[in-house]
Amino acid sequence: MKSKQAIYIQILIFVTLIGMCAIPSLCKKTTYSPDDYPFVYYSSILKELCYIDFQNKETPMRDGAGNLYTTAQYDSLMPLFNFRQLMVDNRLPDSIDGHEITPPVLMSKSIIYRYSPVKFKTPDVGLYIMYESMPKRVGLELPDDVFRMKDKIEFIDNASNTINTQKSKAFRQALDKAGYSFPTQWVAGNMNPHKRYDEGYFCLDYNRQLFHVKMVNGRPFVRNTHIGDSINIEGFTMYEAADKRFYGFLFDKMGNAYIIESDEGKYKALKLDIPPINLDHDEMMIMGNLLYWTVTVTSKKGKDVYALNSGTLQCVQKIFLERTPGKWDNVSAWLFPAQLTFEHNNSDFIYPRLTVTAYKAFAVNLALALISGLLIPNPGKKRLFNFLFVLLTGIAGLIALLLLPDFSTKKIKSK
Amino acid sequence: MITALFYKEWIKTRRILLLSLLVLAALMIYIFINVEQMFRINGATQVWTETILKDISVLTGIQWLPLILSILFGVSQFVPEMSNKRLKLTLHLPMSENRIMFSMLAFGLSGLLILYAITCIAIIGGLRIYYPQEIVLSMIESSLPWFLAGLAGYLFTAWICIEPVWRQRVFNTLIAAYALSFFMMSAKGGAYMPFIPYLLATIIVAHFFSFYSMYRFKDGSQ
Repeated sequence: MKSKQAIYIQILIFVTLIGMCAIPSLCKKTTYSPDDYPFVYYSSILKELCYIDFQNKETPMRDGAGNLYTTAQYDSLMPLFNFRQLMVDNRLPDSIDGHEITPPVLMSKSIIYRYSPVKFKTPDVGLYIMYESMPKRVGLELPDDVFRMKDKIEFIDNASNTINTQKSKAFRQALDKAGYSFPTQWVAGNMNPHKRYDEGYFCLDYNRQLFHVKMVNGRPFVRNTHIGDSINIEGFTMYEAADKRFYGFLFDKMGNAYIIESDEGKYKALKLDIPPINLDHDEMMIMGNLLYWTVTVTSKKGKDVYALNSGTLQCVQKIFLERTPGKWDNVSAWLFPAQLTFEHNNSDFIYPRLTVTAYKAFAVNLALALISGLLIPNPGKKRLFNFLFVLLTGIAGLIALLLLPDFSTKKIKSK
Repeated sequence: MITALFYKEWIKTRRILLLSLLVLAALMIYIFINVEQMFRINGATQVWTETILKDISVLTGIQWLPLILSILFGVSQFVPEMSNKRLKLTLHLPMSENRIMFSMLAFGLSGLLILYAITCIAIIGGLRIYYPQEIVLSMIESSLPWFLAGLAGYLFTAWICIEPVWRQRVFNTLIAAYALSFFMMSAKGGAYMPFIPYLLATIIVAHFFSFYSMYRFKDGSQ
């Protein structure tokens, strides 16, 4: 009988854990709606961050003082954002602040980059494609091999599924010569064959030095960027900007963001003048143009918007939009003291995470515990057990008790 | 006595075991024909590139099969025990009840493990001809939760079948169905790896559930 009781407890805990996942998940589906923030962009004419409401067809733009602007005014006041419309209307200015404005220049300086924690929390197969960085023809061609770089660099021929020893040896020698230490911590690059050009990969070696590895004219190109000397690197994402100004975005362990610029054959990390972001939770979006970058950082508290000078990346204005709690926040705070989730917004990996939401929910737990402990006919010990169990686990625990047999002793006797 | 008990289980399940082996073998053959065709038509470069960039697995067709076969296996093993309450006779064998139940489950789990091991060896051996080890490993990591779902599915089937009360069987089925959904979430290759120890823990815990149904059966719950 003791074994039966022990297994009952096991099943009860198991079903409760399942309930702590299923019930909040179901409730979230019915109550959750995403945070609603206005679109914010820096006007290179007004020299301030302005709000744009794309649903409003009459006066879509509003400045910081609350002045409203018509669609035509909005196009003119944000010429670097709306340059395609201005071109069609033949209203594109020749210059802004002494900078020549032409469509090719604007297109080459246009940047859209989105950081999400998933970027660094995703499984890596461990095989990469090395394109020729100086192809003889326009566009990139898929090579006949892929490479691995965890413990040593090896190129594997696609057709024969065997190691290309000659190419592997050439790259190994180049890495040894540049002082690369295996095992590799991570490899970051853009494997999309439709990109404009190729800049290979940035790899963090065992000594936390960041190396640039690519293939130029069929030969290995390996350089130590020496950025690891001054920055404690967390991750890198390749961007391959249209104007070839920089290679991509670098993040340090503290959450500071940088771009890696090419400076006469050397590599320079230029910091974005924004506070460190939480790499595990925050999302960052950069919309850059010839003169200014508008950077938005979305966190649990709200949305920070920064306008940076595109040359120096120094902040020229910042605003904060506070987050207003939604229906789901209120419901979860009262109903679920803890939630169990397996899939996460900030990671591609699946693992259990117990989130304690609010202690307010223990008030509801207490009410449910009183009902299950006092009103349901049971012997004293069972009443106490049910009361404590529901007090601790709330709705999930109560449903688990209801789903399993012998919730009520009276019921059994009546049979 | 255990040999006799295993023989009894073998008599009940041999047809479904053979059927499972045939179905899995047929699916393996289909997968390898499919892979061969992909390499012949698109070329190795295109296939490898798409596999790496788009995280495409050739094993997606196998996803539900271990679970379906394990449920059929569990049903074939435990439904005959419940018809006319034959389990009563089984539990009267000259062995402790716990040992009898443990042996029955051990037989089923061993059978499924052998079946899954043969399938995994065939997959690894076959795919290594076409793909490098990293891609094969990624595909195996993707399919590992499906095989674990098979083991969990078998244990849940035993739990549900042995449960003597029909209403409770329905509740147990709902619980089992939701628990099994944790093994079937869509994820990138390798994304499940941090969750595998928890899935194994679920299987270990689920192993004891049938004992609870057995105690209820013995107590005469109706």
